[in-house]
Amino acid sequence: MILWRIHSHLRRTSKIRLSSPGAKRRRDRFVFSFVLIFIISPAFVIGTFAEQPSPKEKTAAHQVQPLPQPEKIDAAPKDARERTAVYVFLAWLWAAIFVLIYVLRLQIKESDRLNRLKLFRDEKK
Amino acid sequence: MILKKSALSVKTWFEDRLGLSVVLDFMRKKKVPQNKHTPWSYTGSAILLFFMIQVITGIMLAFYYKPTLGEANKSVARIMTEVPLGWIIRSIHFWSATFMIAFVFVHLFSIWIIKSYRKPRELTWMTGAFLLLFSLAFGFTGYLLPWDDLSLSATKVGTDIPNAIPVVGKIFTKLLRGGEDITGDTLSRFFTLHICLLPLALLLILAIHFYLIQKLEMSLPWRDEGKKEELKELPFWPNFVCREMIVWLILFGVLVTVAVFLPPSLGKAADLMAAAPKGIKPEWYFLFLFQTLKIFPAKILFIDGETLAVLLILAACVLLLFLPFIDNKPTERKGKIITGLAFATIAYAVLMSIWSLLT
Repeated sequence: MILWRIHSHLRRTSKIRLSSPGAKRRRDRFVFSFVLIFIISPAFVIGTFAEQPSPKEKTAAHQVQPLPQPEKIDAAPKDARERTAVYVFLAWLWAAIFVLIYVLRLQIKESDRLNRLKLFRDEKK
Repeated sequence: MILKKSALSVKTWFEDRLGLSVVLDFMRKKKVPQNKHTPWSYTGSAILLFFMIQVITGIMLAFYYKPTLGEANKSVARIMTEVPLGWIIRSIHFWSATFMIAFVFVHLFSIWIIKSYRKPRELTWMTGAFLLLFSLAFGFTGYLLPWDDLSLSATKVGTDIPNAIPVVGKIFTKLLRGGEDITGDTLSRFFTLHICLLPLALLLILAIHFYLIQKLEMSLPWRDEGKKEELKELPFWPNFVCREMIVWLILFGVLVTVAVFLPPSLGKAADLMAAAPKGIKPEWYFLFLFQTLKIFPAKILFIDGETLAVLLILAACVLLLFLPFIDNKPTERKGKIITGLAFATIAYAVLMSIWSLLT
C-alpha cells in the first residue's frame, strides 16, 4: 500500500516536473526494481536461515556428554554458513536502505519544489 | 479498481470513527524552522528511534529471560546460543541502549550550548533532564540482568554509592537492593524496574516532553527571535519527516552493523560468595562519575571523601535540572560563562572517562 502510494505520488508529481519520456521511464524502472528488491530480499534471507539446523540440534548431534559451563560465551555464530547468512542479510539490509534513501530524496526534492512554488499557501492560512 | 474502491471505503470507515484527518491536517500545517541549529533537532528523534528499538527487542528478550538466581544467566546463555537469532536481538538491544544514551548526551549538550531552554522552554529542559536520568537508570538496572561476575560486581559498587549520602543513603541502598546485600530479590527488583516501572515513568515524561515541544514549537537562534515571519520554514509533512526518515534509516543500518560485528559476550554465572574480580568498571556512560569518586581522598578535613564527592555530584545534577533558571540572561556575560561551562563539562567527562579506561 505504501509502495503503491509512493509510486502513484511519484507518477502524479512527474506530470508537473518531468517532461521527457526518458526520465519517466527511468523512474518507472527504478520503482519496479525497488519493489522487486523488497519482495526478493526477505524471501532470500528467510530461506537462508531456514536451511540451517538450529544450534540446539547441532549440539545434540555432536555432543554426547554435557560440557562444563564456559568462562565466557561469545555471541556471534562460529559456523561459516551461519556467518555468511548474517553477512548476506547485512548486505541486503544496506541495499534496501540505499534504495529507500534514494526514494526519500526524490520525495524531498519534489516536496521542496512544491513548497518553493507555495502551492499550498492558502492551506497554511 | 475494486481494490481501490474497497481501500477507500475502509479508509472512510476508520475516518468516521477515529477522525484521523485532524492529525494529518495538523501534520501538514505544522512548520519546522530551518536554521543553522536544525541538524541538532535530529538528535532528539534519533533518541526516539533507539527507544522504540529498545522496547521491541526488550519484549522479544523478555519472552525467554527468567529473573531468578539459578536461571538468569542460563536463560541469557540460551538466548545467545539456542534461540534463533537471539544473539543478534540481544546485541541490538545492548547497542541501541548505548546509542540511545550517547544521543541523549549529545542532545542535552546541544540544547545547553544553543540555549534552547530559555524562556518559555524551561519545563521542556527539565523533562529532558528527567529523561536523561531514566535512560541512565535503564542502563544501570539492565546491566545486572545477565547475572554474570562483572554485572554483579558493578551493581555492588553502584548500589554502594548512595550509602555515602548522610541520613537517607542507607535506606535508599536497602530499598534498591531489597535487603542489606545483593540477592535474588535485587535481581527481580531490578528486572521489574527495568521492564515495568522505568518504561512507564519514561513514557509519561516523554509524553509531557512531546506535548511541550508541540505547544511551544522548536526554538530559534536568539538572534532570529522576533523575526519569525522572515525566517525559512519547512512543512513538517512530508518535507521534514522524509529528512528524519533518512537519518533513521542510516542510524538503523549502523546499529545493526555494529550489533552484528560486536555482539556483547556473557561471563560465567555470578557467585554471591566469590570475591569481586579485579578491575571492575561500569558502562562507559558512568565512567566519569566512577573516576570522580575514585580521585577523592578518603578524608577531606573532617568530612568523608566519598560523601563529599557524592554530595557534589548530586548538587551538580540539581544545578543541571534548574539550568534555565540559573541562565536567565543567555545573551549576556553570564550566559557566555554558562556556555563555556558546557564545553568544560564535556572536556571533563571525556578526560575522566579516558583516565578511568587507562587505569
